[in-house]
Amino acid sequence: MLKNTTTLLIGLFFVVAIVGCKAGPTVVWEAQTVDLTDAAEIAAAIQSEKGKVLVLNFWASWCLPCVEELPALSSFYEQYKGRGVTIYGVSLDDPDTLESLIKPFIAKNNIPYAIRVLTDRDVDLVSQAVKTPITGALPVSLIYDRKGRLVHSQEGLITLEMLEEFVKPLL
Amino acid sequence: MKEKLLFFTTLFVLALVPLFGGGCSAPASHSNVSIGEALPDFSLKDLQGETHTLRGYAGNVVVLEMSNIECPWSVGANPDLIDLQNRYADEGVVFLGIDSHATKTVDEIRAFTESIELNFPMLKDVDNVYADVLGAVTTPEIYILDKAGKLVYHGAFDDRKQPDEKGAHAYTENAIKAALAGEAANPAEVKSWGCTIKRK
Repeated sequence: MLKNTTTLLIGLFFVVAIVGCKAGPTVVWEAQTVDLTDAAEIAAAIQSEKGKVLVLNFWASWCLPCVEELPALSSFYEQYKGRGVTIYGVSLDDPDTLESLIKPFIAKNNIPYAIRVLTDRDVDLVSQAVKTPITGALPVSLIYDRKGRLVHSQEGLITLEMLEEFVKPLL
Repeated sequence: MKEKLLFFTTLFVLALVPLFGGGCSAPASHSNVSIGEALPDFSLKDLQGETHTLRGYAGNVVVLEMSNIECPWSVGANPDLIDLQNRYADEGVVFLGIDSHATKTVDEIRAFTESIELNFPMLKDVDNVYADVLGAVTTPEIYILDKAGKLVYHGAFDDRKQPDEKGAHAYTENAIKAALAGEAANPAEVKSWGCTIKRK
């Protein structure tokens, strides 16, 4: 009796230990929306996008290569959004400038995908959320496959050619 | 009794599964040097062509700043670095800027440093050789050495939220004070957001 109970409890505990670490709220950032976010929500958004290929791009309006790569990201998104690709942009601009600077910047640059502005600046917390150690250097693009696994980390400017090279095999 | 002991031991071990299998560990550092280690020497020229080596400053507290004249985050810290140089020069603290950016020429960097009246040497790290040695990736990125040449602080200048606004925690100045006092800096390492070093 004790043996059977033990086996059952161990099995339940194991399932809860693994699944409990992974489960969380569903977070979907709709295209062309701009709002604030934090590390916990980023982690949930990555999990919620399983089933799609996700490009998570960290950028800021004051970062020259970040601005330089926006057209490539936008073009890639428009080409591949119907094929199961999502792009999320996470801005390191001042959250207090959401209305005065960030939204006008996004509108001016016709960014078609979702943008969130990071409120907590702890690089280590964000590293845990995105499942890889990031240095804090911008820009950085993280690519996740349909199972939510990080498959590529691109520090520095990303081009259209790089996006096609890294993402197309995952489709 | 033995069965109960085995039962609870098993539960305890399984409770550790999320820690080791759930990806909750702290991220590894990108740096090639660790706190307490000596930095590798360099031989780099400043903007006037004079050669500087790290060993040439042995016995001093040394502040190295990985710098980039087109990075707002790096540019924003310049006035504060100039201020620190003014306040700590008499205590023998040496400030050195290192520009490893592949796309900036010596002439461009010199024109910029003259425009802001930079009061410490800026060294050009051709082909980002020393940045690669250190594993430096961001600008600004600060390395502070004590008088024995050991790394006591690495990372953010401070915890500013915007490029040109002073942060609440003066990591760099606090580490300088600790190094002068022969004490450990706290914190000794802080990551920060900034610009990537554009490498060759």
